[in-house]
Amino acid sequence: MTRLIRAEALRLTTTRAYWLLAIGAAALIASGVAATAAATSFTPGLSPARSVLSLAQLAQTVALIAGVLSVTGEFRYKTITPAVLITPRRAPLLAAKLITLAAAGLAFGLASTATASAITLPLLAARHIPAGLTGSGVAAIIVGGGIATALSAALGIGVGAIIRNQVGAIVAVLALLYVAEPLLGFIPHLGAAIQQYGLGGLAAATTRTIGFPASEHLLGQPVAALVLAGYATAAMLAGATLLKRRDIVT
Amino acid sequence: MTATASTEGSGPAARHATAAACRPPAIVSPAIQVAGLRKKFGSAMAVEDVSFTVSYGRITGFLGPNGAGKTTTLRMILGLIRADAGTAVVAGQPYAKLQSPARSVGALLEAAAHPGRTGRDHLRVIAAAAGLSGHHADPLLDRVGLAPACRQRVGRYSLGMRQRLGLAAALLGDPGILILDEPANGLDPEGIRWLRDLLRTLAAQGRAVLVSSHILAEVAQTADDIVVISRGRTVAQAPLGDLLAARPGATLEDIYLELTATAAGAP
Repeated sequence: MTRLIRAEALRLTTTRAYWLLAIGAAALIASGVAATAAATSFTPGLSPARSVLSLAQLAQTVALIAGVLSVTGEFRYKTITPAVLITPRRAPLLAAKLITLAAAGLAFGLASTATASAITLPLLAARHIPAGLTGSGVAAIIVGGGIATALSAALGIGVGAIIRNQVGAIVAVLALLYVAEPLLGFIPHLGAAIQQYGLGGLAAATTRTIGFPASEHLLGQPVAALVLAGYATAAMLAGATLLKRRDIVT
Repeated sequence: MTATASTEGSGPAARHATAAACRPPAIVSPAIQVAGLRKKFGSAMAVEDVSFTVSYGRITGFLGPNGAGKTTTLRMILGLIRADAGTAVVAGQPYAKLQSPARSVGALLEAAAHPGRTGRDHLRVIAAAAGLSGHHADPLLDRVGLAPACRQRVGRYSLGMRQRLGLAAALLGDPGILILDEPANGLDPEGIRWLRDLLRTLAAQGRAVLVSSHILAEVAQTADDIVVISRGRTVAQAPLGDLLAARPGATLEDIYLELTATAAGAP
């Protein structure tokens, strides 16, 4: 397994896509929270700091896409054939991707959320806006950011292994996250469940920030992290089963 | 590794094994043994009944029309496609059971590499996954003539260069068995001669080489044994010399066209 993880780390670092995703997301998060913290007027009742830091949920989206890319890229560029020739049992290949990308996701989530907090809190203080957060509240956001990002990468790997088609998988994930869930979230009754158990709501709850639409119904942080971990596990198991079962014809 | 090395040692002897047929047969077990392979994709029969053996120290040319089932057969041998029936044994075991497959079998199926990665990094990824030292990458790139381009992204390679990279990947684990699907694809005349010399050298070292091709004149110059499949069935397996001797005056192309035409006309 060590050698498979080393190979996976090389796969991750020797193509530009993941670097571009990480740098792009980091830049968007930093500039987004800076602009929002410096200039927005805040809805009363919501913690201003939590509102601003919900922009850091972009880290989870990007990790989800990176996870999808790591598997669908193998099919798109047909490198799944040499990969499986070296690892004929196939499932260890996904396990190595899981370990590598979850570790990278954890690091990226922690770093990006910590940076976002370090930008947001002083800017709010300078405008004499109370952040509405204690020190341990900030810590919970940062740790949650790391965990949610790692779990999102794992979920992406599972989804990628199930769908295989790169464009299809990315469109499906983004449509769910940015179209289906926000729209369904406005439907009475069903909306509350979507806000609690949809990916967006789980990311918001795990990072202790605010969902879209802003919800009273978010799960508690540990429960949300467990549900997200459950999704990731289910997707990984389904993906591994399909990878083992399907013929590799390209 | 050691098993491979010892078989390689007996290679030149194995080359003349047919001449010494009275010797006890236990010494040389086939590198690849395919028996009764069958595969349907949905309702389309891709491979109906394919059987053949590939010996160490010899180049086996694997021939057949487009759609005859060559690539499907090679993928079944390598455990990429699950056979509906039949068995394929490589180095004494089903491929999926090999302890370190890259050291036993090198395969080039399609010149597949991530276009954003350099040729050198492509080999480093494979070496890392196979538990091989990345130091093998540079000498191999040199051997396949890619040293000048090793830091270029694969997206800028020609098809011939990608084939050379795929050959380097197949050779990475120093395997005793090579399975190559249309390796001459995209190679220029100089590249084709280089490939011919490479395959001969590998076989002379005692390795088994199974190579599919449509370039019959090239196969006639390179192969020791011939396997022909048509419409998913083996229609011939014999040493090239025997095939030609049975039909004085005929070329491999004549014999091939006859074999595949007969099969096509059969019920």
